[in-house]
Amino acid sequence: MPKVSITRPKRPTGFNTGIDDFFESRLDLARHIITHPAATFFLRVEGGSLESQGIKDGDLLVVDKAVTPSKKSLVITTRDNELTIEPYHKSSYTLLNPHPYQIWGIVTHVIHKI
Amino acid sequence: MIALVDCNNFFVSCERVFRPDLEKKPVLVLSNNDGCVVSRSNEVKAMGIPMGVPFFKVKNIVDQYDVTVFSSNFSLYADMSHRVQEVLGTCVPDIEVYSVDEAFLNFDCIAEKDFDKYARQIRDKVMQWTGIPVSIGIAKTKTLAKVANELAKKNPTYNGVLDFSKHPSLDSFLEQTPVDDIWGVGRKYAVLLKSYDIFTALDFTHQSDAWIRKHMTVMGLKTLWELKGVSCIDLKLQEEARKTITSSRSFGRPVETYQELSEAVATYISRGCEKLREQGSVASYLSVYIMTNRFKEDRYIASLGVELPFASNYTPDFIKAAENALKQIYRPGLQYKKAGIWIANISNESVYQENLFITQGREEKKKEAMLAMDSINHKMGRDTVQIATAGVKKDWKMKSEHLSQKMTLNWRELPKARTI
Repeated sequence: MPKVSITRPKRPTGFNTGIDDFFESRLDLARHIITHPAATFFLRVEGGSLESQGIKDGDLLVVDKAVTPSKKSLVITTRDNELTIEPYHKSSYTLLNPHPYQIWGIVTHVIHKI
Repeated sequence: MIALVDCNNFFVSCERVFRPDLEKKPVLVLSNNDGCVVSRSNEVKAMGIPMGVPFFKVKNIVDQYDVTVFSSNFSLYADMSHRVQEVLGTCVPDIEVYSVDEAFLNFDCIAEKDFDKYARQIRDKVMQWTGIPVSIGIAKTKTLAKVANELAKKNPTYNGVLDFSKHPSLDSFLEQTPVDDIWGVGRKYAVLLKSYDIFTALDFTHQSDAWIRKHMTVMGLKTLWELKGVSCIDLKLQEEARKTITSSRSFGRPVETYQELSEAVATYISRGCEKLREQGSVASYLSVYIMTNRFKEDRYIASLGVELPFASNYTPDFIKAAENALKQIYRPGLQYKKAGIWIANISNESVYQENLFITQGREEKKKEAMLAMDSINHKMGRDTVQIATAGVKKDWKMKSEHLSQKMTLNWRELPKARTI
């Protein structure tokens, strides 16, 4: 007779082993890397020009719209009316471009499948 | 003080979040089966295309002016709606989600009392976090907040926020508001009021309590008082609706076949869904469990939870999900003593049903079927009418020729970020 259990049955006497008092939640990657769930979106990289920076075509991007970019940020912009991933250079939005495109969000993580 | 936050052209705005190229372009969204226009961008409104018009009637204008057309992507809109609600939840503690794109906020908690400034901060935050533009109306009552919101949305000089508390007299605003736009005044009442030369909200407030009560019942009277600044309609915060629903039973005799087990589970599902409909809820999580005699050594207890593709209270949706779960946990050759179901992730039905066009067609048929079943079962006893679990016909496939991707709900349909 099979003994497979998917749920944990209690002992008939109600006594538990005590070990469950120490049970914490297993590590959850999503919860770990996402700070603002309502403002977080996943995008897929299309194109290879950022490979030198370790970002490859097809990689998964975790994009947070709730944070402000810093000098070293990788951002998603609306350049040429397309969602574009590029390094954040503040100057390009004021001096060089009279009609600055918008910053859509900040890339917080890049997930590359091996 | 109450604020009404309303998303501008919500379905269109959801599509635009991922399409920066459509920012100032004419865009519209169609209802179920690509039937009617249910959301229009401001550019489309300016073309004179009315809300609710059947698509075929405006197809030539659409082609001539290069209007971008989308089929309703309800999963996407539901997710974006939740995101907006979550952001609002970080701004104030008390929120009543009124529909998929509207929420009443309790502004009493704001210390500085500069409601306009606070509302603009909320508006900016929602835009930054979700990409959805909103308009905000602020007033002492819900009905007035709605009036303020309408004006904020239509008149660009307000820049998306209109705070009535800053104005000692609201007469000029009420004069600009036709009776049709008053919350609680439907088409029939609007016709009635106009027949008595009551054309604006200001005219409305000049009527006597007795007159309004006579022609529009006590609900009309509440609307009158609300327009005069007396709050009669409270914020409905999360009600005491049940957050989880269980239904289970031990069997009179041991059950061995999958068929019998499946029938039992289907019965419990029916009960669970009845309770959902009773409290005006929908749910998206279901867990099924089965067990053999738990006091014997070789006991088998198994459960499996499944997420429904969309929140529902339509029994066949849950039965289908339960079948999937049951197939995976059932083991032949065992004597089952008990089975049960557990429904969770319960939310308010009105959030999904508020949009008139969502209830057209297929959804309406579903609702009618469930209403009929519920009323027969109420009169003639539980389970008089049940869903047949064997040979359930497949639904016809809904026409959606212009469907966008499920940008936030499907790993294979993610938006792309191009490199340069």
